[in-house]
Amino acid sequence: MNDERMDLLIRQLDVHVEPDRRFVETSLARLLPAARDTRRFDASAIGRLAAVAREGRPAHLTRGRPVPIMVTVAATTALLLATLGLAVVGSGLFRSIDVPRSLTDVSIFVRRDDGAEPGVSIFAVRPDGDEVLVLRVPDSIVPGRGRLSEWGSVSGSGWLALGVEVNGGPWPMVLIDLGDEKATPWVINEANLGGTGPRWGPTGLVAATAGSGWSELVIADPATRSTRTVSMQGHGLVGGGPSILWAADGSGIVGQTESGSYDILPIDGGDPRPGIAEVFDPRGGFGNGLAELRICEPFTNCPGGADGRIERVEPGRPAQTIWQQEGADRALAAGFGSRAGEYWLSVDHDQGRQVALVHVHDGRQDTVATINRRADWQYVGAPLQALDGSTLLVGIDIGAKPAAVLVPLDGVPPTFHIGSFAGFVDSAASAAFATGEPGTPVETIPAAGEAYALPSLDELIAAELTLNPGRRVLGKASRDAVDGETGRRTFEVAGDRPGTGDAYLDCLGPSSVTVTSGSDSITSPCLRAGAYTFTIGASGPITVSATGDTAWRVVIYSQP
Amino acid sequence: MRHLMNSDETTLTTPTSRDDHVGGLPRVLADDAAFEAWYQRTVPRVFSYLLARSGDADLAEELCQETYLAAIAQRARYDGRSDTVVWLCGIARHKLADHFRRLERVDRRRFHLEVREITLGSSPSPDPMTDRLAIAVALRSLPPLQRAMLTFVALDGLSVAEAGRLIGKSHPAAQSILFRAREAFRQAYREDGAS
Repeated sequence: MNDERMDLLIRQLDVHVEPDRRFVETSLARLLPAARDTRRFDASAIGRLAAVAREGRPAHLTRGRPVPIMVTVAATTALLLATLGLAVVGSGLFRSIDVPRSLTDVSIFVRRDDGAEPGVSIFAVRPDGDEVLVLRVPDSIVPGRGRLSEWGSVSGSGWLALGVEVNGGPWPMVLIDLGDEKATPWVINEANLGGTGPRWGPTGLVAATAGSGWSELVIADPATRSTRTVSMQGHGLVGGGPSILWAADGSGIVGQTESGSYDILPIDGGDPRPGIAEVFDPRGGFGNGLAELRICEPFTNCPGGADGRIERVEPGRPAQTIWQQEGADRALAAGFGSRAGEYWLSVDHDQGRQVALVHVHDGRQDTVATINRRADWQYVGAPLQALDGSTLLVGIDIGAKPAAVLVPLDGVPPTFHIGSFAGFVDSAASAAFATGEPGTPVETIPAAGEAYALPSLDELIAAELTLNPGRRVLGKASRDAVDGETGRRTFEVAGDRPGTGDAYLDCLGPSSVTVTSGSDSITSPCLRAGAYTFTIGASGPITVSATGDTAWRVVIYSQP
Repeated sequence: MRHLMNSDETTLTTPTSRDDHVGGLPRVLADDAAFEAWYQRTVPRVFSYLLARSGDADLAEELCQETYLAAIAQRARYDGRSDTVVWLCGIARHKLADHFRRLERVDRRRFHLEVREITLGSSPSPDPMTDRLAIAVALRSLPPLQRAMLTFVALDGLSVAEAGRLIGKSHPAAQSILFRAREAFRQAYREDGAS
């Protein structure tokens, strides 16, 4: 019997066998809770941030999700605020624009408030940093249905779309007219937001996922209070998130076919139109031609190596370098601007103590502003520019809470705001609601830049257990960096209990860290904040390989 | 005792043409109904994959469960370029490789293989080419790593280097294991009088 005949014989074993029905039932019953927990996590603040990082801003989260970090933020005084307002360095770096302040866009933030009457508060932030409480919406507007999500999306004309988090789903969508506090919020039960946020199109319509398995979209028109359901016609949404992406003219939504090509699915229900030209993505995740940006760092498999450059990657075209790292300042995040060939970058500066905001356009690179970093800032997003060009908005993750820095482009100091940024509203629309009694934000940018430092194991564990209270710690280990210790060493993670769990690896330093268990392993480049995770058999030996000058934390949690 | 194969068997080459891979794992995790539909569609393929390679229904069920848990936990790794069932089988392959490696470690300590009874639902055919029982018995008589190499190369079409990487062996070591596996299989298959 030769080898070929032997292989033919063995292939006879490859037959279809239906599994035992009892196994299927019990297995499914055990898997569903895990799937639900995953769904809840993906829809949480941290999960969504991870999705944003995966789908649009290739930053530190390539294989997992960031570990939330519990940080106590000290309250500051108005005097301190005034002092810290001078914290932005590099005077003269601002691009001055000639737009009267009264006519500029305002930013909308949503904050979750779980006090006596749980709900969300919606704030407008003016370009000078003052905050105005626009509306407070209690969860009771959707009685018995769950709680309002703080992750929303606002239209340029002032309609806010929020999800309702319902255990087991589906998640309906609520539309709120910020310009009319007496208007009844519009609950759209056809929507099923799940892990994908609603997206406003260029013509004032909002699209949201609907149906089981996201086989449909619901398109809502606030002006007429009407909805229509559009079949995905066998297509999927785009991106790793995935995301709803409008065609630039608002006529349809981008869908991906089984073969990987892209079509426009007309919202009037017509046949798919092949090919993608221009898209509408004010959040900067996608460019025309469905281009995305990626940072070439270790483990991203960029051809040509991990030198920190930023590439524009477009289906059917060779990758194009749009920014090259020079020196130690590495890119943190990148997004598309509103014009062709325009990009906005966040770049590490001053050994991690500052973030430079870089505008790439017309063959030039301008550092528009430099912000002092706070030690608890984990993920720093790419700048988003207001439609009128007056301000930049930089999303920040400080662990359990989303936040952002607002950077006016006329030289006024930037300000720091807690809450989920929902988008910009134009000056005409905001005049109806952003005129209340202004207040100053209670948290600020520091006077001197603070490099990000890994939190302690206890802080990491406390934050994770806040998000997922049912979890247990199966094992943990950590080591702080020692300058000059460049030799690679191997450590073993101490196990508190046996079992299978999720390993969270946080690290920061000049070299990568690898966690290994059996044949599974995960490696983080340790370039910036954020955790990598993987499933691990915690009953076997678990080792961590790292150089002494790189700090790391490993926690193994029981699976949900 | 569950059966290694049953009478309504068909080959595994039937392609899946469902569209749940479009939109990726987030889509099938969107709600309970979508997840259940996805699970019901994919589990026969994953189970069959594992059963054909392990020859043990209990083990196939155990690894099947581990495969789905790993898929949920590692959902971000799914890139949407293939049907999710192909991706699931990739995870299952690693679970199987882990099993063979564990078995090999145990085997090394015990100096013998645990022998389990195997039964078939269909009658053995007189045609040696379709005599699956004899093939399965011959394959199961091989030491774990030899069985793993032969399974991954013959059934999964992996190269020697790829199969070697799966079980943690260098290319030369993998070649050596595969050579010994083929010799042992020839011997075992002849000894059973099937060829």
